Amino acid sequence: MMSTPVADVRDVRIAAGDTTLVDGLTLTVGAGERWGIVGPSGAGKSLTAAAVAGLLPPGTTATGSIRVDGTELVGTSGTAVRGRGVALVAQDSAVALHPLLTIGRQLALPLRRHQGLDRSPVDELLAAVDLPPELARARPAQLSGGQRQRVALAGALACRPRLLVADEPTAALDPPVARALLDRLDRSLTATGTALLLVTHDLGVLAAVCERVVVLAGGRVVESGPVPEVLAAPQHEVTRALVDAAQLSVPT
Amino acid sequence: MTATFALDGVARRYTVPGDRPWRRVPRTALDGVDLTVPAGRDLAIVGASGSGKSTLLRLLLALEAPDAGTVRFRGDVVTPRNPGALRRDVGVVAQDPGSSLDPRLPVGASIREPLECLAVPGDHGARVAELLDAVGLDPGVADRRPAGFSGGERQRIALARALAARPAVLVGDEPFSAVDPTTRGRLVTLVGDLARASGTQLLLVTHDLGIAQRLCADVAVLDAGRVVETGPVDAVFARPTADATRALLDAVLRVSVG
Repeated sequence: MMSTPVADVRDVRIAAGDTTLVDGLTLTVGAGERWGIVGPSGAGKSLTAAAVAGLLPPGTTATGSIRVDGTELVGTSGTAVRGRGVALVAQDSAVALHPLLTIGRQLALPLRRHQGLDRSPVDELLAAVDLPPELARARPAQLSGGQRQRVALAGALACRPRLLVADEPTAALDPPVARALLDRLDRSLTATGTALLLVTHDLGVLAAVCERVVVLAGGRVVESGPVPEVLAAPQHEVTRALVDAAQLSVPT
Repeated sequence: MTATFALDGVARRYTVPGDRPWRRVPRTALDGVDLTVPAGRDLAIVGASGSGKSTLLRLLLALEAPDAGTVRFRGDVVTPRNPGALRRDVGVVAQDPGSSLDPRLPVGASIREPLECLAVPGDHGARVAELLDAVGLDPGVADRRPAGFSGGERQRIALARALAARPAVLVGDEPFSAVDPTTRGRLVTLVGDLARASGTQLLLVTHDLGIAQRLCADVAVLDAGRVVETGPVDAVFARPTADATRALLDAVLRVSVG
């Protein structure tokens, strides 16, 4: 028997007032699968990721069906699935983390919120993203950008969600730090069997962690398939432009 | 020939957040940098975050003074109080055109501003039209404000502004990193073509090694506030000698394509 898809997105339209931002989106993420969403700025990548995490911004509405871990999200606030079903890592954890709370206290928050634990294995969470236990006493401003993204990843994985939604998690990091975070993400997902929905406009990032990809342009899916096939023979001009951009950044 | 830039024993220290929200601790951003940028050689400055790239750039542009050492532009020591010929002869393109262009000004006025500030002779209106055309935009857009343009178009406008007074040196601080990847390639080509056509020397701060190699002849690698390696970019990337250079090359995410 097939297990329930982690995310089952059917014919979704996302609009702000009369403006359609995403249209006709269908996407099924199976257990443990790793999907990337790529496309140019304004294609609807982040909105799609937010919708799957049940975190659509105010003023936007979705129609169609978004089932995460079997629960319908369209028309709900999404709180039913966040934590154990789906968790989000945003682009810039400098704003996602509370500036005054120590790292240890903010890592304990999702555990308490979603599982009602009294004592939280903060040390274990930090160790799982290669950070030393002393960091639990530090505040976000003392951490580097790469350390902050690791903390955000640790927090997102704290409740062992079935799906991790990551919106440009390495966009604010320089290449060596980005590469290390992607390696860490790869190992964490493998260890926990968590599925991934990753938003990026960098095909290098996509190829490093994802197996399958949907290419969005103007709010619609223009191409999708296994990553190696799409990169080897891009069909749409947007995909070709993204492949060219990825090649530009590689020294010869 | 006098070097465009010459740094001699340059050091710069800042304070950064400490172990309590109200405490700050000292940090050395640049630690005795010696660097010569010969005239006519396009240079890329690369390095990881925190290696001192941005600090080096602020000192080169005489926006800050070093705590030790000297910064020379064409042989003259430059400081924030006494930038000499620097303001006229160096054009700058910043990383984010969304914040570097004045949102209240029509883009034509933004491009015209350096011409007026530097009292450049000639017909400023005609020069603005010529510049917009050179960066691939319709001169008719001069009266629109930045909000009406895409990120790539805004960076083209910033480029037009930086080149307005015909500077001898064009400095780019990660000028391509905030630009949509589907339009980045055309902007890289445009910068290279315009610099070559006008004989403008390029000084590019970037973490994109591919773009550094395509646009610049030389590279300087910064690590922990020091220049750890300099030389022709092809040779340095083919046979890196510093660990920091190897780490940067290893971090490039390669995409295998058909």
